[in-house]
Amino acid sequence: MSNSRLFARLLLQQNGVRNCYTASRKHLYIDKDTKVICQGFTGKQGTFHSQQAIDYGSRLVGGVSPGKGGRTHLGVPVFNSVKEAREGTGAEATVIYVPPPFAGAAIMEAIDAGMPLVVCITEGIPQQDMVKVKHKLLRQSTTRLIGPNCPGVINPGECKIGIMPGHIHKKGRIGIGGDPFNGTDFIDCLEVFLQDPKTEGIILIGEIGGNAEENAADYLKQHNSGTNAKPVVSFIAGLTAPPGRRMGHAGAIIAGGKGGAKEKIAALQQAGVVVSMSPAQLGSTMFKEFEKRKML
Amino acid sequence: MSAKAISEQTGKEFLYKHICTSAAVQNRFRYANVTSETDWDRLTQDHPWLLTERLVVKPDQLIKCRGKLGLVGVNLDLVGVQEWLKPRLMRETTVAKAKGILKNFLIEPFVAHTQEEEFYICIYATREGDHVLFHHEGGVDVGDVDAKAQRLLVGVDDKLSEDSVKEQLFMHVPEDKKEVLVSFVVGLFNLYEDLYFTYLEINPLVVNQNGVFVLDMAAKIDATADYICKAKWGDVEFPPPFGREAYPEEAYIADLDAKSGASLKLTILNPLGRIWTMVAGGGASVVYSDTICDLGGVDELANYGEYSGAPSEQQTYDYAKTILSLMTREKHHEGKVLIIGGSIANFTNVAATFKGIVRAIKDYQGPLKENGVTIFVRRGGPNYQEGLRVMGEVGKTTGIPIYVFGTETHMTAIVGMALGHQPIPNQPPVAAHTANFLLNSSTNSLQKPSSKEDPELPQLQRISSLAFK
Repeated sequence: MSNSRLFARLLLQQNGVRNCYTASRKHLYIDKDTKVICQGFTGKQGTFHSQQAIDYGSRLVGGVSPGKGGRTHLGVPVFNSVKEAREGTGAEATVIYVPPPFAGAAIMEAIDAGMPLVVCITEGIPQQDMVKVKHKLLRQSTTRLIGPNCPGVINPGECKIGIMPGHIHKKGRIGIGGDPFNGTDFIDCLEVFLQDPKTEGIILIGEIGGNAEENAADYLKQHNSGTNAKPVVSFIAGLTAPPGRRMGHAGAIIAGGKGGAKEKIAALQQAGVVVSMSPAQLGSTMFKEFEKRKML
Repeated sequence: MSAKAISEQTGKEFLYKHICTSAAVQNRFRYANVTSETDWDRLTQDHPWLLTERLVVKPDQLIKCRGKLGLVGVNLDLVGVQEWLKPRLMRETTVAKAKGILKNFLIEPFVAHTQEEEFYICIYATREGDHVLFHHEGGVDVGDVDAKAQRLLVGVDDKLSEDSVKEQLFMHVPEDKKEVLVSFVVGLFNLYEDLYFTYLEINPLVVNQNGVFVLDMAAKIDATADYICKAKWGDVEFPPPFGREAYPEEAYIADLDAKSGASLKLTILNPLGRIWTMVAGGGASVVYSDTICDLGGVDELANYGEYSGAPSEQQTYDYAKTILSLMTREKHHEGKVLIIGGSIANFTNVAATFKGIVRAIKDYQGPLKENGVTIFVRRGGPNYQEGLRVMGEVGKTTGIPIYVFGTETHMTAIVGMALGHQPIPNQPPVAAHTANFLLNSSTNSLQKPSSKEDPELPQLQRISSLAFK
């Protein structure tokens, strides 16, 4: 097959499957009725964070720990598999606290069980595992993955799936994770937030490495301009990291002119995003944007 | 995941040990490592071919384009190699903008060959799968490979077939070399997958009537796959980039990191610098480094690192003592600062981690005072008030100036204070409420918010024992 035909097929394939997976974006939205299960339920991390979730008010309806099905843990049933847990509880979301050697398989199991939302907290999953997960993920439209290596997603006062401290949150927030092969990127979140009537402003926090922020800037140029554009404020960490140095989450490296903080900031500014030079000023910057647009 | 570069020697070792191919791979294990400690008699005993063959010598320190930089000695005998090394071994050299010492060299047999026998191959990972690049004109002057090379994408879960290699990559390869090369390329790809490489480049790959010669190799492997590949990798070393030293303290922390579910990272940038950091979290650590550099501290920034994921008191002590030890080795006339920073911890028990740091401060109080160290602390998270309290106390009992701030102060405000750009405000009173749970019963005093009035705060609950299985 000639190179150009191969390239065309790849492009079609990518666009085609992209439409498939993007249909699952709506599952990013969680609320007080969302039923959640926990994979790795009876392990140390699973137990600790599940108790936190229950205390916060999340609807934790069960958990998965192979070989321990039938028991009760923290007051809810334990199942042997995600499929059984979903059948037994009607859960719509799962949170994974499984160590790296088994986390990839845990995500696959959740996809196979048709779980609408999967949040994977685990850090350190081998790249090859995640490439396979991503490959499967892109060819279906039921399951939405957040992570891996992320703190989770929270709808304050309603539902908390992940490790973030609940009491500090007043506005909606998703932590999508630092790994290069992740399930949900900025564009996925932006689409949900731009279309959600309750979301008035968006804060986007980025970091050196990769080009997710540049892609987000392109998306915003196309979908968030004009009079109805929502204010977007951003902070990019790693401005002073020189090329070749390994820093931050998952050891991001700036290589070959891509992935540097300056480039990201420029791209975002061209898309109408107000970039704050300090995380401390994100709140006040957003406030000024609201003032400018007379949204207060 | 963490794709890390390995040395040329390590890459070749993996290849010679584990590649499955019918192609005759020559000069297997024929490489000799040379440093300033090398005992040449011993070396020639272990590698007798050094005395009989013509040789090539070059540094093995993750340096690119060594040929163009004049860093390759070609077609020499052993005496010639030693002469070549004299002006280069342990000499400072600048490569791009990095200054470093040339200290690790590789000697291999010289393989005479023609341009027609040189090929280029590279395999690397992307989201869609693995790309295989191949060019029939390899060597030092290969030029822009992206533009010139033949390219083949092996999709996820797909295999590399001999037919697709021949059809898509070998358009310009002479017939008599196709079979040998195709077997080698497929074998190389399988090696790449089995050993969790993320990048593997051989330039030049020489193919002549005697077989296949791997004259050079640059590679990266996925360090998170250690638990899968340990048996094949052995104890693999990841060399630092050229221009940066590998410190035993970094190896020590990396070892602690590997043994724990928590994250402990340390990179030493400038051991003589006066600004040291001990920051919690990957995100916060990048932000603190940015801020320090923004405020003009880039030349004095001594280290980059982070600790997170709920390390124990002991682990935090081990981490802290490493930093305190490093920062008290050599005095600086302006004194030094230690920035113990962080945002609001997700779930790390700040009281526990800070007790570890305090213990280390107590152990190092002598050297800390001799080196004129001032400590700035900013932190939030579970039990942070207890953490801040013990920090403030150790300052009083040891006489070391320690300034302590909680979440009422912006995360990076202490950087301005530490660098003398901002006056240090009076220490704020400890805030009235904490996260809504107590972890270990490390303190007897219970801080109860008026949760009935404040709708943001869920009910305070005590977890005195959790059922861990």
